[in-house]
Amino acid sequence: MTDATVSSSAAPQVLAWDGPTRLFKWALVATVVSAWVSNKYGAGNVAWHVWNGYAVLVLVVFRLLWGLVGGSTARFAGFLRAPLATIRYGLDLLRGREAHYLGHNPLGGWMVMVLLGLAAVMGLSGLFNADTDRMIIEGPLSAKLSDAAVSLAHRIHHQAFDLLLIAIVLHLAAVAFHSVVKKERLAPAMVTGRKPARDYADMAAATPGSIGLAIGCLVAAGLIVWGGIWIAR
Amino acid sequence: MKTLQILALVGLTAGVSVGAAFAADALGERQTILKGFGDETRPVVAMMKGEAPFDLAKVKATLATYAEGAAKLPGLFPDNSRTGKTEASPKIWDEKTKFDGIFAKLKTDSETASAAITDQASFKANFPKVLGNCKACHDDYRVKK
Repeated sequence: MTDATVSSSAAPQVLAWDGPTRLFKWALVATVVSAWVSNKYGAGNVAWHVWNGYAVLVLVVFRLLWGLVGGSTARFAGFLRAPLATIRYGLDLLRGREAHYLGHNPLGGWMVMVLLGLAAVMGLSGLFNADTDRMIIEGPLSAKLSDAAVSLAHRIHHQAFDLLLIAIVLHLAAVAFHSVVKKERLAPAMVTGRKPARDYADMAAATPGSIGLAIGCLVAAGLIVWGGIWIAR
Repeated sequence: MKTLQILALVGLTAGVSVGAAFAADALGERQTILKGFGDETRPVVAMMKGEAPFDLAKVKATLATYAEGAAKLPGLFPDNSRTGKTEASPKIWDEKTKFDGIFAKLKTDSETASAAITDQASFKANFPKVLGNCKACHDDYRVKK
C-alpha cells in the first residue's frame, strides 16, 4: 500500500499540452467570460464588449493556425477522428473500457471544434450586430447593413450564445465525469501541461510547438482579423 | 331601484372606459417619451462618433429630457397596458420594481452626467454611462419586433 502510494506520487509525468495551447485555452475562457459579464453588467462601457469580440476572433484564428503547426496534441490531424471511430469511443466509454488519450479523446476533440465554432459565430455575428436604434452599441461592419440584416445578426448572436452555454455545460460535465468517475485529473493537466505517464492510445508524450511559431500564428491571426475587418468596411 | 341599477351600470361602463382610455393614454405617452429620447439621442451619438461638432447646450438639453422622462415613465406602465401595439416585454410586470429602478438610475445618472460634462472630453467619458441604462433596459424589457 505504502509502496503503491509512493510509486504513484513519484509516477513520471509527461507533457500533454504545450504552453501556447494552455495559454490560448485560458485566454479564450477569460475573454468569453469577460464578454458575457461586460454585456450583462457593463452597459455603460460597450467598447469593452466590442474589444472582447475582437479578442475572441483573434484567439479562434490563432487556434486554427496552431491546429496546423502547433504542439502534437494541439494539431487537428492528431485529435479529429472519423465519426464512426468517435461513436465507437463513446460506446466504449459507456461500457467502461475506453482507450486513454494523452491529448483530446475523440469526443473531446469534436467538442473543441464545437466550442471554437460557436466562439467564431459569436465573434463574426457580433461584427454585424447593433442595437435596434444603432445608437448604443455597433459592430464595426453593421453601418452599411439594412435593419433586417442587423436584426438577423442580432438573432444569430443571441442563439449562438445559448448554444455556447449548452456546449460549455456539456464540456464542464465531461471534464467532471472524467475527473470524478474516471479519476483522470484533466483540469490540472490543462494548467500544468503535464499528465501521469501511461499507455495512451494517441501518443506517449506530446511534442511542444515552437514558441516562435506561436508568436507567428498570433501575429498572423491579428492581421487576418484586422485586415479582414478593414477590407470589409 | 331601477334608476339605481341604471346609474350603477352607467358608472361601471364609465369606469371601464376610463380605465381602458387610461391604458391607451399611458401606452401612447410612454411611447412619445421614449421616441423623444431616441430622436434627441441621435444627434448626440453623432457627436460621440465625431460626425457632428460637440454642442454642450444640446447635450445638457438631452440629459434634461432623460431626467424629466425618467421621472414620468415608471407611472406609464400600468398593469392594464400590457397589450396593444407595444414592444414592452411582459417581464416588465413580473419585475416592476427592478424595471422602475432602471428609470430611477437613468434619472440620477443623467443629472450626475449633466453636472460632470463641461467639455468634449468629459462628454465622451460620461455620456456612455447614461446610454448604458438604455441598453440595460432594452436588453431585458424591450421585445424586438
